[in-house]
Amino acid sequence: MSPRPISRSPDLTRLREEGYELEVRDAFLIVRHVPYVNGSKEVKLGCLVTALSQAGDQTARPDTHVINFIGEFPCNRDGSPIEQLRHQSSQQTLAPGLVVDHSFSNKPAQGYADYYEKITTYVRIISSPAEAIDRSATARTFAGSPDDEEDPVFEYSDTNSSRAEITAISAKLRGLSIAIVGLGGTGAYVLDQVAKTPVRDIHLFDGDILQNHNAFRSPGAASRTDLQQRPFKTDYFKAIYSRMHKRIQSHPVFIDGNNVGELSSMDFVFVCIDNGEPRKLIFDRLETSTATLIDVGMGVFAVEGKLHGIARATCSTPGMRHVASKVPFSDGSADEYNTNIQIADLNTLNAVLAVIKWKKLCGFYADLEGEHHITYTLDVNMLVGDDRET
Amino acid sequence: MANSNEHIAQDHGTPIVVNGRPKKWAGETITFEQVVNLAFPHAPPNPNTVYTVTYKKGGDQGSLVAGGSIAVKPGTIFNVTATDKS
Repeated sequence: MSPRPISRSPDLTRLREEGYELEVRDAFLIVRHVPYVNGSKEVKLGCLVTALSQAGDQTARPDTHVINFIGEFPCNRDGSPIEQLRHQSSQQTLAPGLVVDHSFSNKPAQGYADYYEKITTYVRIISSPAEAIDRSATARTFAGSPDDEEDPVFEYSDTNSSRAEITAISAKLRGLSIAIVGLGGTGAYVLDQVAKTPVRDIHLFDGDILQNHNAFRSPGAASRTDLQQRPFKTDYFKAIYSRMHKRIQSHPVFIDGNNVGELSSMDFVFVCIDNGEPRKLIFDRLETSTATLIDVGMGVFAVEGKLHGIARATCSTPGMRHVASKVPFSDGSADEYNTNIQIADLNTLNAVLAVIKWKKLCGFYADLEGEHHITYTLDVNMLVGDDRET
Repeated sequence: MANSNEHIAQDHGTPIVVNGRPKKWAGETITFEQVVNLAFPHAPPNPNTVYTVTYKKGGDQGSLVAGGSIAVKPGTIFNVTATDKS
């Protein structure tokens, strides 16, 4: 069968969206984590295995009602075998590495219309006694497929999209190359979001080492050991988020005149840095490129023991570059007005404003006003969108 | 450092708030530059700094840019800061 069997067959897609643990191997469908009761009234887990009849690279109507099982013979709640399933109980090797213990026969009058009906019928018969003993027992784990050939980007399937039936909407984010410049605070939270999307590549740029104070404005919780190793921020975050997204690249360098050109081949660049000079370099160099820049920044100050401030996200697209005038390019030199207060929740908020705007530009979220400059003012709880497309 | 200079801008006029502190403004309108000066009454910190300025008075809310101005209403709350930290 082709490399994308599940998504091309509506019956298999429906099974996956309902949370069954599927694997298609050669011409067999394997359904794992099927709870059943054995002869000793214990709840166990088995696997259903069925040959798949195919038409091209899609499933066809099942040509047999017989199904195979890996496990002990399933029983009723009282430990007596479910005789209605009885067919053959001898080990068979269906394929290299695929050995089954039983085959079952439960034939509906018209046969099974598709594999959704076949699998759910057998699961209902086999698992009902288990669910009666243990209410949490279910074959619908939403755990995703172990070696999903579908996904070039994620380590395991995005069933969050499939179960909510927004896979087509999520697919709008596929194929994009993303750069995140600066992983010290807001940039790390941008990565936390972007790594959960099916973008093609995520490039991290930052020449700094992860330090204690960074941990207090980063997603997750760095350990003392993590910090003692003094990793580059880009390496540290790549290691964590590579658990989900396969295509994160670490560039433990600052953006300067020598490498800024690498950003012009990106689709989107999140600019999450503190310094005016590299910011100006990036904006100047990419002004004539096709890249979209989303620049973030916050200013937080204390007044009589309470913090005030503004978080900003500004988006410069090929069609609207003038908003760069709202982006601060001056050097963040030390003076009494220049505080570097950043708080993790504000970094998160700032990142989320940028990510939501990015997704609007990709058509993921509806965007009726087309704002290119977004600010959130803390002390009055105010979200403002400016530079709207007319 | 608190001293009476912080409130010299005007001592009569419409009461407003700038960066968490009460001020008074005598004019009917106020410009972006005037709001920045109210926020930083000592010498301007850096003439090249790009500030983000927002205002809110009930349903009347938004941001100001260089060269812009708005009508001043009692109780309008302004925030002024360079938003350059990430």
